Amino acid sequence: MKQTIQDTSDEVLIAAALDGSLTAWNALVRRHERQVYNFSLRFTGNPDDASDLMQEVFLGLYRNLENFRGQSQLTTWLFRIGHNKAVDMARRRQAGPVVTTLDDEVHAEVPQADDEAELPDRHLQEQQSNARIQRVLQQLPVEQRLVVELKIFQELTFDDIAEIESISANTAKTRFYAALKKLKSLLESTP
Amino acid sequence: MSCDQTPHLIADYFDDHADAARRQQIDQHLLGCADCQQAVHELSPAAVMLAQWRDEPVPQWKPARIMQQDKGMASSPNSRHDEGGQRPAAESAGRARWLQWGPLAASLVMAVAVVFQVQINVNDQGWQLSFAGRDGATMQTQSLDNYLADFAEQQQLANQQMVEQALAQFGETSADSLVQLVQYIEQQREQDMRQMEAGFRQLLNRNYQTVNSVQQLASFVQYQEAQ
Repeated sequence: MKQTIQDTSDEVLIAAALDGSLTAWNALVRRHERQVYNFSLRFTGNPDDASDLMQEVFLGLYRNLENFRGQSQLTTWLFRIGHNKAVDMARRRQAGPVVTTLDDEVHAEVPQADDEAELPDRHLQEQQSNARIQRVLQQLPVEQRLVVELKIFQELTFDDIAEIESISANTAKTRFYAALKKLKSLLESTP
Repeated sequence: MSCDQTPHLIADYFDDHADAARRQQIDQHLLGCADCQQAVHELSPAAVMLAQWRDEPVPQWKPARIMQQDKGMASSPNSRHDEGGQRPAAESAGRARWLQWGPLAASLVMAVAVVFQVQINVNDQGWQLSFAGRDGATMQTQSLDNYLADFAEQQQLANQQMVEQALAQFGETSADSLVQLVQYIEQQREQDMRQMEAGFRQLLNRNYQTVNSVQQLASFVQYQEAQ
């Protein structure tokens, strides 16, 4: 039975990409881009910055391909890079802070009255739900946002998170608890 | 909250990776701890809200660009040997230098090509590179002759004006003023020399290869040495 590129493991694709195979690199990126893009979207809160962050993550992955030796899942490796790039981006933003509030933040991404008639109800609800999640996540400190991301959305273990963030597992748990408390208060104050 | 276990218990409560033994511990603790029960109750809506996220489609982009972009900087990922996965600083600095000097070098080549009127002729027998063809040399010679004629005319006119001004200024003075007249004329001659020198420098910049300009330059040097 002939093996397709979809069946090919990450390790094989990485080896081929290291040998210069554009096809293998494309396949590898397409396999993980949705996960990375949505991570980026939740972290940045807007599609443009999310695209930038996603491309930075894959550029970082490409430059570090040879260092991946299969000691962990590629996704864990990928989110190690993603975590570092996200922190870098947040630091750059701190240099020139953008002041947002719960009311106007990510507002442009929420479907408005004119669009509503054209969108199926379910799709509209999903978009509104996503926009709300982005809004509240943006209110979390970066370190809490990343712990929530890696725990809730990427479903990593606290040990993995601890390793990625260079903290102890207990610190990761404490940050996660603090993030949930903050989210709770944000939800109570947000319609 | 008064239970000191709440932060870790809540974290493990929402952790799908918690093993069966830890789950049992959590359940037992919750049965006897009102604070942790309340925390679970209050924080669950936040976790539920986050779980409602639906992945959004990725905008169009070209992953190949990353590979091509990076290949433009290095031949392949295997060409890097640093353990940390970071590009060596020296390599980055070297690339930056090339990027800095590249446009300057290209501008220099273009400037040389324009100044020396580089011509590239391609025919069946290959290509030929030439510097200012016959027409170009003729044009340069004619241009030089015109320039020298203009210069001589300007010199003659300037000398005439200078003598008129000197006569007007010193014509009615005593013999002692003749010394001042001589000094004045010498100053004017020095100015003329500087002007002529600047003219030849301009000619040199225009075209080193025009034979006439070299001959004029030689005459100028001889004239200067004679002084």
